[in-house]
Amino acid sequence: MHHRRVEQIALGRSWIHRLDPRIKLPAALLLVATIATRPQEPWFHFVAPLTLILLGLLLAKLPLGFVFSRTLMVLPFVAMVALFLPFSQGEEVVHCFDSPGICIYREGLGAALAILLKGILAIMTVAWLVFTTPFNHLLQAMRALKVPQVVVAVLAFLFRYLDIMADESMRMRRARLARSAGRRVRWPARSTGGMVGRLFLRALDRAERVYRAMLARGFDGEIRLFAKFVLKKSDLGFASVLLVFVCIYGSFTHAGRGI
Amino acid sequence: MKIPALSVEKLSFWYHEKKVLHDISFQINPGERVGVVGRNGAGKSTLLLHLNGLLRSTGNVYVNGVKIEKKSLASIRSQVGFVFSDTEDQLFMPTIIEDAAFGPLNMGLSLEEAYEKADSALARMRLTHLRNSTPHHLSDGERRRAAIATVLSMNPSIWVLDEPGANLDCQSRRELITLLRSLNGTVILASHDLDLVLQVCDRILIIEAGKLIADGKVKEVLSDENLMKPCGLEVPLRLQIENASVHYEEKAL
Repeated sequence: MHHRRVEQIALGRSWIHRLDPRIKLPAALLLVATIATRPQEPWFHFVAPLTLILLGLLLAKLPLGFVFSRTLMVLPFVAMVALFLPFSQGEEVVHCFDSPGICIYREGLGAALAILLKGILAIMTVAWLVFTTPFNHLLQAMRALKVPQVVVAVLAFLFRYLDIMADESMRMRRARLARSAGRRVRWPARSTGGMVGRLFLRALDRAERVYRAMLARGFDGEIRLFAKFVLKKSDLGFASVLLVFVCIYGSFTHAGRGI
Repeated sequence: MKIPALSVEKLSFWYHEKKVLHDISFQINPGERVGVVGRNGAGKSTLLLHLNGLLRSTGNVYVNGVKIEKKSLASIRSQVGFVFSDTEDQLFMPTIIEDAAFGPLNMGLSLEEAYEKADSALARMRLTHLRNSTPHHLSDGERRRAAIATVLSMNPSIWVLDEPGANLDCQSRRELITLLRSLNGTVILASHDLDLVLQVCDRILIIEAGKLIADGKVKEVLSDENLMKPCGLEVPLRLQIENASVHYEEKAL
């Protein structure tokens, strides 16, 4: 259902939504790359890109609560990376625990904070892109920007068939539950393994059938996507503003170690 | 002499050592509407897959007089439109409009022409309002209409439909029957829904264990209980009632 909500929001009518995806996609990537390559300290310089992203979200009239809740879902993955840094990096000890014999280092804490901040900002940038651009427009933009066809095709099929696979796995889980007679399933790992295997085989079968359906309509190896984009003044204005921001922000912060 | 729309000559097909189709031969004239029926696993879908060269084996298939072989495949596939039983397989593009334009673009039409054909196919299927939707968010009936639109945009002279009535509610099924009757060109459809076959087709082929058991007028074949029962089929209720009333009237006279 969330997938559907994201699509609905992406079909919005704000001027940010109407920007050419061939500009929006590289702009988002440029911003992510800039944020990722900034130094860890002082951490408050991250306020600048945060302000820009928040401005972008507001101008697109996005439901901020929903966007942030989506962003938070990805956060644990970033946190996993940052989790061990305070214990493994640096020389200046902040605190030592006697019993397990591990110490927290100041440099490590800084690095963890920077990774968290960079991760959040990168996710918010991608969220801004995804919430303001329908997925098929993103795919068309990728083709227009000469991203290899096979990459775009894989993404297109993933987008198309992910929901179906999720539905299939839900039906299988429901069938297992229906026959578990209200008890906890014995050997859940065994039945889950079977379900994953079954899902894989179904996906394989479906891939063959889809390929057949493509051949039936004259598929010759090239997926031709519609790309009817026209560059407007607002697109160039947006690109210029972003480039100016990146130059100024970049010159005030020295390039540091990336994530 | 009129060239048949489809001509199948001594078609046999093996699947892992097992013979699935046995020397099947028949001809279909332009404009004919033919139903292919038989029990599960009888070989109906396998037969249909040969009709636009998706499967090839021993024997020959001719489309409008042209033999299906590697060099003729591209032109054959623009003449024979195939609607698959599972609409999730048929609709593989991110949006409905892109799916409807997939065939025309592969046929070499320009973006504008393909767009135009896709839009008019969607309009005929009353799906214009869903043109930018993802297929996953459509109802079964809408998805079936969209699947037909993806082939309609190619304007084929021969339609091959595998189980077009699967998973449809009463109203969608009724709409489908009206739609199938309005299709221009030759129509070949495989279905378990004999009532649908009775309403759409004028000729029927019964396949049993990979063999062509019967080929005749739809009403005559479907009324023949002695022919239907051994093939795991049942005389449609409509015909049972019709036959019973004729029998009753004869008795009364």
